[in-house]
Amino acid sequence: MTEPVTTYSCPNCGKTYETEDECKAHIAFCDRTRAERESLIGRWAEGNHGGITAIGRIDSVTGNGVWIRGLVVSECFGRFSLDKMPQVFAYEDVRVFDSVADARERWHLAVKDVADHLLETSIPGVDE
Amino acid sequence: MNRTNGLFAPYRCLVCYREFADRDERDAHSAECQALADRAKALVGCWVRARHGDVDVVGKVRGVDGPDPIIEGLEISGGYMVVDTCIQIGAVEADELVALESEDMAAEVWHDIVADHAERIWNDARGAME
Ligand SMILES: [Zn+2]
Ligand SMILES: [Zn+2]
Repeated sequence: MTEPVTTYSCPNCGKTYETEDECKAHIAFCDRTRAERESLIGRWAEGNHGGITAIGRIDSVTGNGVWIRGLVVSECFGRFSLDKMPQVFAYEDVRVFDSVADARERWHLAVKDVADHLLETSIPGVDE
Repeated sequence: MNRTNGLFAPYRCLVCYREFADRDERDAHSAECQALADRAKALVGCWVRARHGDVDVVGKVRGVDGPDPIIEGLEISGGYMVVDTCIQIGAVEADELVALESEDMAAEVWHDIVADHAERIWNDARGAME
């Protein structure tokens, strides 16, 4: 015998909850976050999501995540890509910059981090 | 006796094995090819910076394949950055393959190169972002 399980889900982000109260509490939070993020459309920002760093301008909001149009640093099996992307989704971690100069500086730092990381992981001197 | 009909190229460069229909052409090429191979061989074990088109490499020369150095180190080209133990790069011009004094110098050069690439990528994308 299996009991049917009722779940409640957030219309913004799709997260599910077992109780209506939990879900309502989440939706209130999620709505607030979404409204905040909608007010950031057009701003220069950085978003980190699933190991990808996107730097550019906030294009639109979906659920309570933002779409960033700009540059991306990502890794796939030790190969780091620096790409231009029309849209990258960032959900958890979104920070806005005061100016394009700040965004540019942050881009350089993000790339430099990768350069440092690669320098540390490549040790061609070990055989001597 | 060698006969050339366009399908059969009897002369090969002994460095890179490229085929030539004409012996003089082959000889002229081989001399250049050998000079590149010699330059690369002389750098085995050295820290170097190498460039070919948009590809930049910093690392140690581990060997030579034909006229090209085989480098263990770091590579950046437009869209990607990677560590590789076996980068083959056809650095043809003299300033495309340059010895570096030390590992510290290599690290410094690497950071300069990466910063240049990052700046170019930013400038290319800027129009699309604004
Ligand atoms: Zn939600
Ligand atoms: Zn050759």
